Amino acid sequence: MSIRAVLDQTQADMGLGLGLRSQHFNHIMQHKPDVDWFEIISENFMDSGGRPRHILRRIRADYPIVMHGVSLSIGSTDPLDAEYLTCLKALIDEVEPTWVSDHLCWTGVLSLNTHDLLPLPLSEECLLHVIERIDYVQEVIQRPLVLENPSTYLSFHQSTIPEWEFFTALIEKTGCKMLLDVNNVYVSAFNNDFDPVTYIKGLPHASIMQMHLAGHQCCGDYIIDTHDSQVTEAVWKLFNLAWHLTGGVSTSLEWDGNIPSFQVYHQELLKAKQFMQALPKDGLSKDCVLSNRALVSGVSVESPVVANPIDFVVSDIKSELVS
Amino acid sequence: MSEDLTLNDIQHDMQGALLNPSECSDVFIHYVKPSARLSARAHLGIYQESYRMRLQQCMAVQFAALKYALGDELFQLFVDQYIQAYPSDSYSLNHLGQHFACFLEETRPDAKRPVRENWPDFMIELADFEFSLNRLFDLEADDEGDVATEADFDEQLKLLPVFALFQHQFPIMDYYQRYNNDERPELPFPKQSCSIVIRHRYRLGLFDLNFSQYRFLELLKKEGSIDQAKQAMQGLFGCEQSELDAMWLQWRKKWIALGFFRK
Repeated sequence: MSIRAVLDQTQADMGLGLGLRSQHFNHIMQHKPDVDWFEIISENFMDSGGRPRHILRRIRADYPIVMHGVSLSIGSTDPLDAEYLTCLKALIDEVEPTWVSDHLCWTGVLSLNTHDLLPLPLSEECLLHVIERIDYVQEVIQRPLVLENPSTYLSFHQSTIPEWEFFTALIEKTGCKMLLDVNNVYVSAFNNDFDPVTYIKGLPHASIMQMHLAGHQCCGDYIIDTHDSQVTEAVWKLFNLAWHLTGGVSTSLEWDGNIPSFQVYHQELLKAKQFMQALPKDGLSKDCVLSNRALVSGVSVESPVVANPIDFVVSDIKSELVS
Repeated sequence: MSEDLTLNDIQHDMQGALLNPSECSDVFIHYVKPSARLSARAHLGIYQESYRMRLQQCMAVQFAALKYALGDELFQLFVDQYIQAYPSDSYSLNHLGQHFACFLEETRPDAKRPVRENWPDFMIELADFEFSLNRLFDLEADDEGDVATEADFDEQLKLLPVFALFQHQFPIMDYYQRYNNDERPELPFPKQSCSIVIRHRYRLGLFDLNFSQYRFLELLKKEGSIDQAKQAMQGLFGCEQSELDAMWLQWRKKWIALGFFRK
């Protein structure tokens, strides 16, 4: 069976999922909450032979799992990391996730890792480079690679292809799929002066496997994708648009900083149901979505905020000691 | 702006601007488009600041007790220098702090002075201890085996698959536990200490040992059986068989209760 054929089998809408966070392990094990599926950060479990991997095995017995990575570095000009791919494949074989995703980004060169999802100059050269690497990764993992649009804080003079067209070309050439992070579209659009509605309308909707929702922080002249709060009204509006254009796909909520109780996290996800209703009669325009710009520029954040926070990925040993 | 600029060039220059902002930003800044509200330099600044703060946050999780011991300001200073000296070369953040104790040793402020101060030794030991806890927490091993009981024979007792023995110049375990209990401990004076960390059912347990217990467990780890460890103890310390047997009975009861052994 070809990889493209495998891709077509995995497009079922799984409903509403949550990011699996270690802070919620005990609650999930004890209460087996009514969540359709969980999304794991692949790197949290790839090298773990301890409690995280043990818990994952138990949760996998009760829930479908989707794997979401942050270190594939599909756009880097360094060779793909063979050790990383081997560990990723081993985890895939064990977990049997519904699909495997990562980001359209690069994380480092010269064998270093900045642990950030860095932006790519979206050029013809870059497109060919990423196509070649997606083909290779899909051969290794023998299944779809689902790529997410990252939140970006700069754009390049060298970029010649709008991001939505770049994704369209990647999907057309490789058969890969897309994870549409609606919050990231909003953040990137604000930071880089493009229209989020045009972006979402311009995507190949049939190839969107999953959507992400998350909260962000307004820092006056720019927005940071902090994953540490509730989803904003503007992002819900974009989700409403994307939901209708895609016909509805699996959707998950990411909450990585100031992680709340499981109940609060779950309730925020369930708000998505309200935005699966009909589109507003007058449609959705750029002005409608970005109408809070005036509000945004007036907000000041007291403490510094971090884009793509990842400290939750590091094991918090303090809470794992036997007293 | 050169038309020959490749993806490779852009990535190398951007990484340079993140890792060495003061030296490398001026080259990369020419590739960045200003936006309606931000200059090119401000756009780059978001990535530069996030790079530093993101890794600071991860190090603060991995070395929480050390951060408390050093104070926020000094900890941040050391981490900034560490990330500069040892930028991450692993896809896993769990390895981020693997060279931190070594870095603190390399850069100790009294390195060239004839008389060394105590506090850097304490910080180095604490850093090494905290990173060891992270390593033990994630080690590949099956923790599901049957725990030994007092009814089991000595020949059946095996140490848990994941454990580590520590010997320190400072009371590191005590300090770490008091920090974890929110007791806000003071920096301790030097005092030899021994301890063991075990992983029981995927959770870590920390226990103090006296020197004899430490040596015995070290020999048990090396020799593999209780009898051989006892013989090695006698050979090393010349203690009486009866004395050793009596000690072992006490240790055995306590350690079995604490879950040190499998059968």
